[in-house]
Amino acid sequence: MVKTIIKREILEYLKSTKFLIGLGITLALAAGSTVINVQNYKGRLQDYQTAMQEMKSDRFYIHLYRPPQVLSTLIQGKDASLGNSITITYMGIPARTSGYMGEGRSQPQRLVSGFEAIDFAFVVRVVLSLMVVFIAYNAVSEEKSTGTLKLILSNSVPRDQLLLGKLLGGWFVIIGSLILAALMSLLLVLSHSFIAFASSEWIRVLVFIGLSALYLTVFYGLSLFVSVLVDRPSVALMILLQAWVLLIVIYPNLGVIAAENLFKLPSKQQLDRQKEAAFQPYEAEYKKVIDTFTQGVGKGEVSKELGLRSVELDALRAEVIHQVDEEYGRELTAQTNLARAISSLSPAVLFDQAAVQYGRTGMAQYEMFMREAYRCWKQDVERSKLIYTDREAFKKAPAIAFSVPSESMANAFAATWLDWLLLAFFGLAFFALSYTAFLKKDVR
Amino acid sequence: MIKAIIRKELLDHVRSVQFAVLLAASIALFAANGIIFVRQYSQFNSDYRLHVTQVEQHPSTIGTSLFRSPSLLLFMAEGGEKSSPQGYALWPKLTFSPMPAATMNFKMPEVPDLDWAFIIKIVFSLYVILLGFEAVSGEKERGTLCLVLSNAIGRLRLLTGKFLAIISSAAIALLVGLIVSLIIISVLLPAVLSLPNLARIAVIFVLALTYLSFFAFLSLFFSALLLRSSLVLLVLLAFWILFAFFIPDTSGVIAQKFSKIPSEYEMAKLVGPTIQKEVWDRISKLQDRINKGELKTEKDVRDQADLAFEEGQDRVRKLYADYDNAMQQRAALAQKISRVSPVSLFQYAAEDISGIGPAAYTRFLQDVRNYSRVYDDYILKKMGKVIGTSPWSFSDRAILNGKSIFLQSPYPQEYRGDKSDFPRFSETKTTLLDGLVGGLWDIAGLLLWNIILAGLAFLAFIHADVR
Amino acid sequence: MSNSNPILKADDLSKRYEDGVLALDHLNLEVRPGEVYCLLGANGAGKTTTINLFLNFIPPTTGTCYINGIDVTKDPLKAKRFVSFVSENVMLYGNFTARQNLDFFAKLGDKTNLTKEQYYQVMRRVSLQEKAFEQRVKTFSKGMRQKLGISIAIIKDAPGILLDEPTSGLDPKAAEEFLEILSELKKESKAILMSTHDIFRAKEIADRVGIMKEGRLVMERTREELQHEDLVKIYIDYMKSEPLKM
Repeated sequence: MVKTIIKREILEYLKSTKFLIGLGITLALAAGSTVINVQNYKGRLQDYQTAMQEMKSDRFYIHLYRPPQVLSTLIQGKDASLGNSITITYMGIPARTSGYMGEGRSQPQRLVSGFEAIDFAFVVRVVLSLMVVFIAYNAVSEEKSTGTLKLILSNSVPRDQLLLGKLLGGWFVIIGSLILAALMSLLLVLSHSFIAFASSEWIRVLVFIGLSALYLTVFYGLSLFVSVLVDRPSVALMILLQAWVLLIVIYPNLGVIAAENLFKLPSKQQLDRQKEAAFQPYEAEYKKVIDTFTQGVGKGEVSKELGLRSVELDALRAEVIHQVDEEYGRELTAQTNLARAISSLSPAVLFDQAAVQYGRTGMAQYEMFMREAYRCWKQDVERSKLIYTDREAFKKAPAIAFSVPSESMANAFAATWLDWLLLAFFGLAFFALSYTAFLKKDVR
Repeated sequence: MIKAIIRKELLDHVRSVQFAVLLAASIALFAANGIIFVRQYSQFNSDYRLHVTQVEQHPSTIGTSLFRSPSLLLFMAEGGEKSSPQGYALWPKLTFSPMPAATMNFKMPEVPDLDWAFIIKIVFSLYVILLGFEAVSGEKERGTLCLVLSNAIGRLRLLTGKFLAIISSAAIALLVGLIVSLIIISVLLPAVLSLPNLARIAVIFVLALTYLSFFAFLSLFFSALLLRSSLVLLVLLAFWILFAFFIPDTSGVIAQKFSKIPSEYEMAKLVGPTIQKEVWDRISKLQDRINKGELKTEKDVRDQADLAFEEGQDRVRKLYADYDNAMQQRAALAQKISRVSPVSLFQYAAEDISGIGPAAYTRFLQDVRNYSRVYDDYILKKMGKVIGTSPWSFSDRAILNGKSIFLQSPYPQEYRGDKSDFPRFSETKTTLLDGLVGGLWDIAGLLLWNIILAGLAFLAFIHADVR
Repeated sequence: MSNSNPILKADDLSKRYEDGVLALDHLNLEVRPGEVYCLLGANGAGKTTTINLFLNFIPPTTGTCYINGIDVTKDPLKAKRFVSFVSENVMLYGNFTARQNLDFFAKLGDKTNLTKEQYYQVMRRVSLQEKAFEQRVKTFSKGMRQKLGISIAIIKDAPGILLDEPTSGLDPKAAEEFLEILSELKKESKAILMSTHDIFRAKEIADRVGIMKEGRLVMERTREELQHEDLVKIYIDYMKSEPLKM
C-alpha cells in the first residue's frame, strides 16, 4: 500500500506545472553556470600551464604557481579569488598568494550582487532548496483541503504508512531532480578534453552529490513539517519562504558580520610594528653588514663572510616576518571559524562549508600550498648560502622541487563530519516532528 | 471607491504575516546596519587620519601615499569599498600602485555588506513579491474578485488601488527601518545628518520606492496573467533570482568574453621576461659598445645605462596604464550589461547618489593622476630632475679604459631642504546634483522598467478571466 | 431488511470538544445490511461529527462506534476494511483521470489486480460518461465528481457505506441518479448511513430516518411510519421548537 501512495505522489509531482517549471529553471541555471565556470577554469588552466613553462624560476626568484582546481567548475569556492602565484626569494616569503602580476596589482572582480559566484553548489543551495519548498509546502495541507486525505484515511491505511508514502514520493522526485541536474553538469564538464577526473575527483563528486541530497532532505523535512502543521497552503508557503530567506540569505551573512565585529583583527600598522620589533635585536648588525658589504662590492671586493652573514640575516628577517604573518593567518582562521560557528544553525552554511572542502576550493588546499611554499623557501635559503660558501655547488644546484600534495579524502571527512552530523540531525528532527504532528493531526 | 479599495488592501497587507516579518526584519537589519556602519566608519576614519598625519609629518620626494577618505554615507551604499584599495602609493614619474584594502579577511566567505542598498534591493524586493503575488490570483481563488468587480469600479482603478496598497505597505516598513538606522547613526555620529546628506537620504528613499514599484508591477502582472497563486509565486521568485543574482553575477563573465584584455599572466610575462629582459640585454651590451668605441666617457656609459632603464620603466608604466584603462573599460562594460536588471540599476543609482562606488573610485583615480603631475612638478622644482622608482634594480659592471665602472639603477633622492610647501592631496567632492546626473541613465532605466511592467500588468488584468 | 447483526452501530456515543461544545449527546443507532438510514438535521446538529467518529477521525468522549462488530477506536485499521466513505464536496486528484483516481483508491481498499475494463464497468454503472473515464478530474462538474466518489465506494465492495451530504449542490437530475445507485446498493445488502438535509430525498430512499438536533437524536421513524406522517412538517416543527437543554 505504501508503494501505491509513493507511485501516486511521484506521478502527481511529475504532472504539476510548478515542478516542471522548477526543474526547467534548475537545469537551465545549472547548465549556464557550469558552462561559464568551465570557461573560467579553462582560462586559468591555460595561464597556469604557460606560466609553468615560460615563467620559470631563476636562481634568485622562485616562482610558484597554484594550479586551478578542476572541481571549481562545479564548486567555485575561493579557488578563483585566491591568488595564483607567489614569488619567493631568500629575502622574503609573501604572506599570501597574489595574481600573476604581483601583490597590489591584481584586481579581484567584484560581483555586483555581493554574493559568491553562481555555480552548481549555488543551484543546489538556492534554487533546488526553493524548489523543494514549492514542491512540499502543500504536501499534506492540499490533500486536507481537497478532502482526499479523509478519503485515504477512510481505508485501512495506517497514518504512518501514509506519511511515509508521501514522504518517499516527494523525496524520490527531489533526489531525481538533483541527480538529473548533476548528471547534466558533469556531462558538460567532462565533455571537454582538457578536463579529466581522477578517481579521487569522482569520489569527491559522489560525496558532494550525497551531501546535496542530505541538504535538500533537510529542507524537505522542514517543508513537510510546516505542511502538516499549517492547514492553509498559502500560509504554509509564506512561512516556509520566510524561513528560507532567513536561513539562506540573511542568517549566514549575519554570522560573518557578527564575527567581524566581535573578533577584532590587528591592523596593518600593528602587524608592521610587530615585525619591526621582532627583528629589532638584529637591526643594528644587519645595517652594518649590508653597508659594509655594499661598499665592498662597490670597490670590487666581495667578502664571503659578510655575504653569508647578509644572507643569514635576510633569511632571519624573512623568518621573523613570516612568523608574524602566520600568527595573523591563524587569527584570520579563528575569525572565520567563529563566523562558521555562529551561522551553523543554517543548513545552507553547513552545506557550503562541506561542499567547498570536497571541491578542494576552500582554504584547506590553499594552506597546504602555502606550507609547501614555506618549505621551499627554507630550502632556497640553504641554497642561497652556497653563493658565498661554495659557488660551484650553487651553480650546479638543481631547481628546488615543488609539489603540493592533494588533500586526502580522509582529511576532507575529518574536516566535515560535524557538518554531516548537524545536517543529518536537522533532517531527522524535522521528519520526527512531521511524523508526530501527522499522527495527531485533525484530518477532517 | 478607490479609497475604500486602498484602505481594505492596506489593512489586509498590514495584518498579514508577511508584513509583520518584513517590519521585524526591517528594524533588525537597519539597526544592525546602523551599528555596523558606525563602527566601520570610526575605524576607517581613525585609520585615515593616522595615515594622513603620517604623510603630513614626513613629506618625502622619494614617494608618498594618497588615501581615500571614508564617506559618511557608507551606510547607504557600501559600493565595494571594503575590497577597493584604500589608497595609492605614489612615486615620481607618474608611477602609482594601489594599496590593498584595509584589514580584510580573505579566508572569510564573501558576504554582501549590510548597507541600505542591499537591504532594499534583496530583502525588500522579495517581500514586495510576497505582498503582491496573490493580489489578483488569490482574490480569484477565494471568489472575491468577481464580487468586487460586480460593482461599478473599473479594472484600471482596482489595479491602481492594489498597487498603491502594496507600495504603501513597503514604504511604511522601509521608513520605519530607515528611521531606526538614522537614529542609531546620528546619536553616535551627528555629522551624518548634514543638510546635503539629508537631501541624499530623501532621494534614496524615493529611488527605493521606484525600485520596489517595479517589483509590485511585476507581481501584479504575473498575478493577473497566471491566476494560480502558487504558480505566480514560483515564476516571480525565478525572476527575482534572475534579476538579483544571475544577471549581475554573470555580466562580468560576459564582459570578459567581449573585451580583449591580456590575462594577468600575459601581462606579467610582458613586464617581466620581455621588457625586463630587453633592458638587461641593453645594459649588458654596453660593454660591447665600449669595446667598439661608441662610448668614450664614464658619463656616457652611465647615461646609457640610466636611459635604457628609464625607457624600460616608461614602457612598463604605459603598459600598466593601458591595462588599467582596459580593465576599467571592461568593468564599465560589465556594468552596462548588468543594467538589464533593475536590481543593478538600483544599485548603481544608489551608489551615484551616495557618491560611493566604482564611479567614485574612478574619480579618485583621476585625482591621483592629477596630483601625481603636481608631485612631479614639485620634485622637479626642488631636485632639478625627476627620477622614477622601480621594483627592479640592476647592478652591473663595465670596464672602460681598464677601469671598472659599477653601474647601478638610478633611484630617487630625498630633498633635504624645507618641505613646508609640500603639495596637499585633496579629493574632488561631488554634490547630489552630480550624483543625479551621473545616475541619470540608471534612474531612467528604472522608470522605463516601471512603465513597461505597469503597462503589462494593466493589460493582463483587463484581459484576465475573473470568473 | 434483515435480522442479521448491524454493520454500523453507535452505542451511547457522545463527543464534547475542547472548547466545551457538546456536539453529540448519547447517540444510539444501528444500520443493518440492506438498510438505508438517513440522518437529518440542521448544520451543526452533529451529523458530520457522527460520521467522523465512525471513521475514527476524532475520538469519542464516551460510547463506542462499531463497524461490523469491531470497535473503531480499538482496531481502526481492521474496522475500516468494512466501510467505504463518500465525502461531501470531494475534489479528488484533479491532475489524474477518473480511472487513475479509481485505481488509486481501489488499491488502498485492498482491491489490487483489477483490470481497466472492471474500472470502466463500475464507472458505467454510476452513469459517468464514457469520454470522461480518461479525462482529468479537474474538468469534472460536481455531479460527475460525486458519481466518481460513489464508484470509489462501490469498487471497495465493503458491507458498510458512509455518506456525508452526498447530494448537496447537485441538480435534481443528478441527485435522482445518485439515489438510484444507492437503492441498487441497498439491494446488494449494503448497510448505508447517509447524512443529509435534503428532506425530500430522505423520504424517498430511507428505510429509517433519524432527526438530529443539537447533538441529540430526537426522533426516529421507519419507512412505514413515514407513510402516514408528513416528514416535512415534523422536521420543520422540530427545527422551530425551543432549543434543547444542554
